[in-house]
Amino acid sequence: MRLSPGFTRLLLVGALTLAGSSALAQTAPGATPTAGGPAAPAQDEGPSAEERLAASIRVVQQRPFLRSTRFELQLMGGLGINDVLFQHFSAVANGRFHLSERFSLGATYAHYFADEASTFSEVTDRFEVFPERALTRWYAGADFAWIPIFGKYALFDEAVVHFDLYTIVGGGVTRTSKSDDLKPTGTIGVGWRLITTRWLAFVVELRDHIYVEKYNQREELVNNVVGQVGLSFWLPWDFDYRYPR
Amino acid sequence: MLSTRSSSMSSSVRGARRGVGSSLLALVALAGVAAAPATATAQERAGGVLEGEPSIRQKQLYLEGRHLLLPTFGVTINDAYRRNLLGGVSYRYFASHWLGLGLDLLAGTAVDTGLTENIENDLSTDDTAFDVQATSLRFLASAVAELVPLEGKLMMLGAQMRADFHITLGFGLASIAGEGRIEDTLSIMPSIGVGMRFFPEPWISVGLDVKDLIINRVLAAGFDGSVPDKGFHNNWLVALSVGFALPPETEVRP
Repeated sequence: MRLSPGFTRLLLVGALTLAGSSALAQTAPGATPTAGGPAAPAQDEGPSAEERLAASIRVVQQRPFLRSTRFELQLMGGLGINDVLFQHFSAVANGRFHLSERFSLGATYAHYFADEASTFSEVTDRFEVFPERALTRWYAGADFAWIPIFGKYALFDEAVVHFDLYTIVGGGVTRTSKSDDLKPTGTIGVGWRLITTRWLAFVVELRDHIYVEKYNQREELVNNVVGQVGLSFWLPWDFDYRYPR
Repeated sequence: MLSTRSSSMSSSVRGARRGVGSSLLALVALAGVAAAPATATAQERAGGVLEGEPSIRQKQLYLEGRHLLLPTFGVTINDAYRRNLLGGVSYRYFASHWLGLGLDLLAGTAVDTGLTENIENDLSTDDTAFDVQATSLRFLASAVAELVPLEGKLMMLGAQMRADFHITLGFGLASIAGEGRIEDTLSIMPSIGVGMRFFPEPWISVGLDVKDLIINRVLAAGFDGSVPDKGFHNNWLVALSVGFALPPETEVRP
């Protein structure tokens, strides 16, 4: 098979570009290459720290944490942050299967523990009005999550902590104290995951569960906004890379 | 009718506030516990190759030695009777990569919450309109210390930017606007909060902060016009800021 001169030139340029990239990666930060090749280690002392660092750098680095095809169990405590008359605390369990590094499917059960807040008694005492009681009992649902942001922090310039920010869209049902009816519920949310080890992360979430409540006089759209913090446990506990480096 | 969640965007109650405060403490504690194993992890990930090497090389100094001027807009959440809309400016100087000092100046106005509207609807008659007499935040001035435990970089849809997570501690004064029989007052104002800041470019940042402003005031007068005693209440402020950094270019730490 004969190649056209133009295509041959293209292949040559491509090959040289790849070779250049490799060399750049090998001689990245702080490397001290010697003439004719990479720095040769001293015979007695072995490679220096700079040389070991230079040798460790690749054009494409390994991801420090792998999510794909792993299961995540999130156990969290929550607090309703937009109901001024009633306090809602919640115990939340999220199970999440990561389809890829960016996308996952999840299932949630949140059980609420509710009580009157002090504003409730203030309102009844000072204004002599009596608000309807509509306490959230539990929510169950499923969601789809996407990670648009990921990165790493240095903790006081020392330890490296990886993190991601994810968004959630889903739906389910809510049960409240007004009736035994299950109310169809839409859910949106955002989350922040601080990854501490290969199997453990610290999670903060903000979710808005949106449903229609039947009050005595009319139906109203309710936003049940919940802030949640907790830990997430990953299975399998560890992971292997396809290639050693 | 007083539908409980229709007042959802409104302010906080003392009991609820205590709950939020403890959850914030729990959050900070959990963050500490969760972050603790990270040192070992970083070493393990290095596989020994980077052992003994610094975690950060050639660090871009986005905070250290820089001034930030931050136009800010904020809104209080979980208010009982008045929701406060606040605008102003903040200033920070970062003496080190983990500590910034500065000032927050905010002025505001207020709108009725859903709870207030429901009370007024219930208590108004065809002949007489009932207005809830409540207070709002008029002017806030505070000296602030900002601790930055987490500083790093992120990828968002293919674009790289710098980011930090910070904790703010403040102390200042709040001017409270009264209404009807409630007089205008001045209160001391300690505050605590957390936030994230993103630098899409070295000279500009976008920040999101949540702060608890603890203010001594009367929230509202009663149906008969009686004014209760003042008390310290938590006011949760969600603030969005855009920061302009000086000098506009970052330095690199060797």
